[in-house]
Amino acid sequence: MFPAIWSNRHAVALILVIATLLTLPMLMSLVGLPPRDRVYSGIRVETGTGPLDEREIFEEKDPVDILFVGSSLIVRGVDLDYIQQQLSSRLGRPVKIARLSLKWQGLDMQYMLMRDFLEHRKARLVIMDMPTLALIGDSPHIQAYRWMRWGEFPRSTADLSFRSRVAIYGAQVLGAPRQLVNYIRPNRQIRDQNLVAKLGSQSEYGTVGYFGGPFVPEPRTPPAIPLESMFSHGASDSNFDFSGQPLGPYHQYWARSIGDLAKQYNVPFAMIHIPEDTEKGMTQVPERMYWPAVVGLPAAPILAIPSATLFRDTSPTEINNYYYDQHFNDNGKELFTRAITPALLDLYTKEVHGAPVQ
Amino acid sequence: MALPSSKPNPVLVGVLFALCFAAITLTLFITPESLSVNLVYQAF
Repeated sequence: MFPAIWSNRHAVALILVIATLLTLPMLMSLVGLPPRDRVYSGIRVETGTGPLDEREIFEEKDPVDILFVGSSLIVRGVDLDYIQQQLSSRLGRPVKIARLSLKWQGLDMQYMLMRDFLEHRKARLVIMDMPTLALIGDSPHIQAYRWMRWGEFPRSTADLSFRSRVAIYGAQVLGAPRQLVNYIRPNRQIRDQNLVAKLGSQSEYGTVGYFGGPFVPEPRTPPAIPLESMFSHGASDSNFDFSGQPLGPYHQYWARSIGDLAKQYNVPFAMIHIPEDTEKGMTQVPERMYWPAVVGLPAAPILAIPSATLFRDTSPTEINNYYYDQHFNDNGKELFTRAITPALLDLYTKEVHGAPVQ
Repeated sequence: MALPSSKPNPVLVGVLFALCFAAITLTLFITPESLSVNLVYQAF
């Protein structure tokens, strides 16, 4: 029978290979990690907006007026160009709106994006979408192995449970060989600015029908919605239902870290709810938790519109024409953006030119 | 072809099995979707 280990030399070789792979995150940290921007260019282009995130964080230098941070929901839910145009008109000067996101949800990922940005650029207002039920489990972000590197978040991860820290280390072991490739062969595709812009918009989903059905153009003018009704007013606001499935300790930890980051950089912070297809007919905005308390910023508002209000003038049979799955297609993106923009402009005016959030 | 065959040192074999056990255990902690996504279309 062919032996699994046929000599001492063979056993030592196998030990060295496995031990090296298991300790590669620490070894790389000792040797010196590649520049932080390589993390973003190392994220495969198929996974969305990593290259655009890299440009926004590391290449652009000017301060931004509003920074949106979130998952793919925010990419397909908020039309940055429209808001930029409306805010410019309101303020009488050119404004800059930026967005950072990666596919899939996770507050660890959103913390990382916000932190990397604020370490390099100034934001006058940060707006974030919070996890929905699409975030399953309580473990590191699906792409964490792409952007979590050993030694980079020491103070951020020290207080996590042992189980969570092992999960993070597991992701780092999984991603370390790719991080090693980042030393040798940086991704040059991100130098194609058109490709970066296309990836950033995820525009390929703009004219896709619901779950592969035919795309049906629909009216994109929202109903008149009272401004104040789009802001949360405490945990007992009748427009909201904050009694959803709570986040686990891992993501609650990152929620608190996000709040701490906002305090550290003294940046006004707010949240936005992007309606999903499953909210059809709901008269309240479903939230998993009362987020201002979870992030530790009690005065931070949530901007949202209940699905039943947003689609008040839309036939129930046509609402699916505004989605391609849980995400908006261009029908929904434009309808929602036009509806929520008055609240965004009001928020910016209050937070940046008026009283701070905290 | 005949392979060189000398019985490996039991200590080395023990270390190797311990490392394999550690690797398998660590895998159990990794976000499952990270592994499946990695396998399906984000392999290196």
